[in-house]
Amino acid sequence: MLYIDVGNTLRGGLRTGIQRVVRSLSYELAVNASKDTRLIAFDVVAGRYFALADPELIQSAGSLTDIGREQRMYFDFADFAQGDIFFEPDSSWTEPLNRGALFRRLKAQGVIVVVLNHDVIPVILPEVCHPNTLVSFWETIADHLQYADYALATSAGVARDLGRVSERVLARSMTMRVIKLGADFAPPGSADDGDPFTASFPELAPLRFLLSVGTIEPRKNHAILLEAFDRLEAKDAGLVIVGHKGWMADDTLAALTGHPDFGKRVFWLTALDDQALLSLYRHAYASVLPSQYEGYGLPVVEALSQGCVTVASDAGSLPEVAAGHAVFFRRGDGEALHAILDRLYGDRDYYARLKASARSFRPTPWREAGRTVAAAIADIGSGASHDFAAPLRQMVFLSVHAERLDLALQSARANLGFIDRIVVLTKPAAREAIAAVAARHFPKALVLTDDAVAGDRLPADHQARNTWLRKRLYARPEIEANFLATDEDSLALRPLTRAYYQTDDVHTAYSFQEDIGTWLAGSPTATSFDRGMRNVWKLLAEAAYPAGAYASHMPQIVNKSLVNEIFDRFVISPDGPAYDEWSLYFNVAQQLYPRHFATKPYGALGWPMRPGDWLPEFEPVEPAFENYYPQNYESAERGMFVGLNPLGDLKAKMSRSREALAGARRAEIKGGGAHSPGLLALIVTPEALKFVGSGTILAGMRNVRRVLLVNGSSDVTPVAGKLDMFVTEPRGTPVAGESVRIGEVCWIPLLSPDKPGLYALRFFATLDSGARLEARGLLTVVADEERP
Amino acid sequence: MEAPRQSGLYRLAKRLSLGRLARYFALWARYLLRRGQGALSTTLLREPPSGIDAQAAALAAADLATAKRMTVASWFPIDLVNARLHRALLASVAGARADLGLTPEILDCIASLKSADDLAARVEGMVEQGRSPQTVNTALYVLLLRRLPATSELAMIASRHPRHALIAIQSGDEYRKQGRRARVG
Repeated sequence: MLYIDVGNTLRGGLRTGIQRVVRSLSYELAVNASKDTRLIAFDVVAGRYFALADPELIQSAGSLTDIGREQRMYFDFADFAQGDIFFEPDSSWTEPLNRGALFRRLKAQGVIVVVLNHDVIPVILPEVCHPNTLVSFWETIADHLQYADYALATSAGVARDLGRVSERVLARSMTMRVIKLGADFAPPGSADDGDPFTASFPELAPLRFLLSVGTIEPRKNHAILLEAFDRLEAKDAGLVIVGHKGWMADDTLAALTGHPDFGKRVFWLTALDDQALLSLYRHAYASVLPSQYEGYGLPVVEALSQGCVTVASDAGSLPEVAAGHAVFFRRGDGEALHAILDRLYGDRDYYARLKASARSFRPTPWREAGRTVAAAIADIGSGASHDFAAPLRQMVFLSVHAERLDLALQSARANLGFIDRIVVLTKPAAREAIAAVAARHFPKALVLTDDAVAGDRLPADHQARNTWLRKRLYARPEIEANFLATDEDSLALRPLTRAYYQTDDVHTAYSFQEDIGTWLAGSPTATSFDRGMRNVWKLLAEAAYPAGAYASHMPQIVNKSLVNEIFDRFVISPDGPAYDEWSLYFNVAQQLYPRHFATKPYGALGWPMRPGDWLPEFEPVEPAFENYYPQNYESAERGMFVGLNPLGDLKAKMSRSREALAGARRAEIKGGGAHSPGLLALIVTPEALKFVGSGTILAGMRNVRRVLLVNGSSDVTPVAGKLDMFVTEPRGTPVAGESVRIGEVCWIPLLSPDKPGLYALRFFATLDSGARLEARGLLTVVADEERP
Repeated sequence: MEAPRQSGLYRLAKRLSLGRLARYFALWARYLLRRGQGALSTTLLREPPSGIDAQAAALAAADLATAKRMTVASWFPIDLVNARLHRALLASVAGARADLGLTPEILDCIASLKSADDLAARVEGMVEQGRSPQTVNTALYVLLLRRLPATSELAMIASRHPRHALIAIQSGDEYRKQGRRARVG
């Protein structure tokens, strides 16, 4: 279902500017383009949305008061469903419903949010805007930038400006589609019989008048036009300004209405109907739009569609929409404007050429504009352009170690029969060795190097570099529509068919954790991977996307055009934050195209390397891959897979992994016998430490237990400093100790003593503020009864 | 690949567990140092700050996933209402339009906004301090953009709203027109 919020247009009751666009576009979308479309408005008193019973009302009704109870089909927020599209084409910054709250609610229900951006004038030209508009627009544009899944822009210029604003304030872009607006004024000569010009505007008949259409406000820059007009030598020149009084307009209106020829050669008209305006365009000597900025410039399109010679500033999108049929002057350049106007009146050939050009202008009818917007929205809804069904046959690696790639390719060759070609991205120094290995296993192998794909400017951070490299690599023409993304550490352990990843146009993603918000990261040092996880969690949560963890350390299917779209939106610079690119892609992709994605629990052994490193939420289901750590095969490391074949022994590996996971679970959460594990935590505030602890820990357990470190300050003030933790025997002898930086890690490692008994935990913190804090706790260590 | 040869001194040190001994001495030294520092100037937790007990109780009652989520969020708070983004944007426009009265005070309030009540209280404070009409006006406007004013605040807003203000907050109709009254759902 497509929901189009037309509430603001109906609330204001206007039919000009943005409201004209909203009425025309939504009418076309609802009446001519799609049956599954509802035009909706929010009823402030009822606190509910309603749909117009008849979409024709958007044209026939003046305002909300014209729409009776029987013409309103009320519905609840809960009725918005996953896969629906909420389209906001209106001036929503004056809407009563806070957009941030609305969008968060909609996205939580799986609704795709699409906004139509007309311009970002309050951002680009704040000096010409009403103060209230500034505050409310900036609040609303923040919500658009943060939450909108897609933005439609009324011109390429608007898209460019919107993208720049987004990059400036959020360090990311937006996914945009440029649309064309329409103009449906009847073409010249088609309605001359009913032309009211002579009857309605007799005083204009003897004049060759300039026509300027637009609200009287500073951005329209009427002052410059008035000055240029005053300097014209033509005695029959006139000036007609059509538009409501806007904001900060007193000076302009004083100059206009105080003009010595006001009412004789200079006129200000308001509240004209379409027929009267049409008539003015047809009889005007020229139309002038001297704006400081226009996101679209409807008056230019309207004037040209009537064959009216058009002069406009080169601001914003005006040259783009006029498409070479108007004459332009540099924004704010009064001399240039005067020169053009003077020539218009004095050079008949020049005028004739411009007239012919204007007459050859062909505006886009609203019907066609509606169709193009409907097509854009339909594509957003269906994902048809992403070709999810293209067969998966390509595997794309990042690799720098030839011997590891050799293992990975052997396993792929043996078990992934649907893969017949590979692309490997490597460092220039490793190219030769990697190419030899790649060619040995796959005749269709392409090896690319970092410098060729991403240039010299690569992030130093490991995670940021990988994300940036993948972004650049996935945009390459050699990458196919759907491919398996992986790295050199993933070994396929059993034969798989394509259906493991792709069934028709549905892709299966594999997740290892439901919520990245539970990722504690490393301690005493967070890794680059940890920072990527944290950054992507923050990014996704703040933009109201789900935040499952997909860095499952196994190959995953990726759709080329969608991943490029997502990366182009969120990863715009090698200097940007590091993200876990897998979670970024899959969470956004599934929100946008739920029909094309399914999620299953991951199937990789060796992630984590040992379950004691961090406790997985769930066991890999029917493992098909191994995240290869050489340490897992080394006796000195007490590896899980010592004595086993890296490319085989799946059953034995599964058995040992399951046993190790059971041991870790028993130690950390399950218990048994005398062992009853509980939560261990230390709350840190600027004034005090408080230990929270219960239960027992197992003696001599190799799995690392954790003391969660919780920031207990009541506001957002960060607490930072150094923390030492000691485990001491009852007589005070220390048996273990750990040091961490407060503010950088979420837990303190706790290696349990070898002997059962009662121990003390002592915490000493020195905060950066200078405060020294201390806390104590008890630790009950019990014998591991199941240990051989 | 051949493993690097280890020196005789290294092998002797390993046999004598010198590394382990060194770590043990380091542990003692660190422990004694910390105890000594603590004896001199540590603030022992006798009267826990308000809220810490509730937090401890919530943690103790939580399952592991919830406890982890609470822990991570405590250090890396997610700005679910995008207050920081709003603040950055409004700070930007404040630079371009000083006449708006978007003072650092308002911006800070937006950034730390936990509820619109905080901003309402800040507006009260601004009025009491005799801040400029435009500043109060802008603060009021931001407040209205954020939520439905409580009935108890209507009198405050109406009576203290400065003359010639850019937004007329004198009637219910104007509220509807200017203020974002509605909550979602």
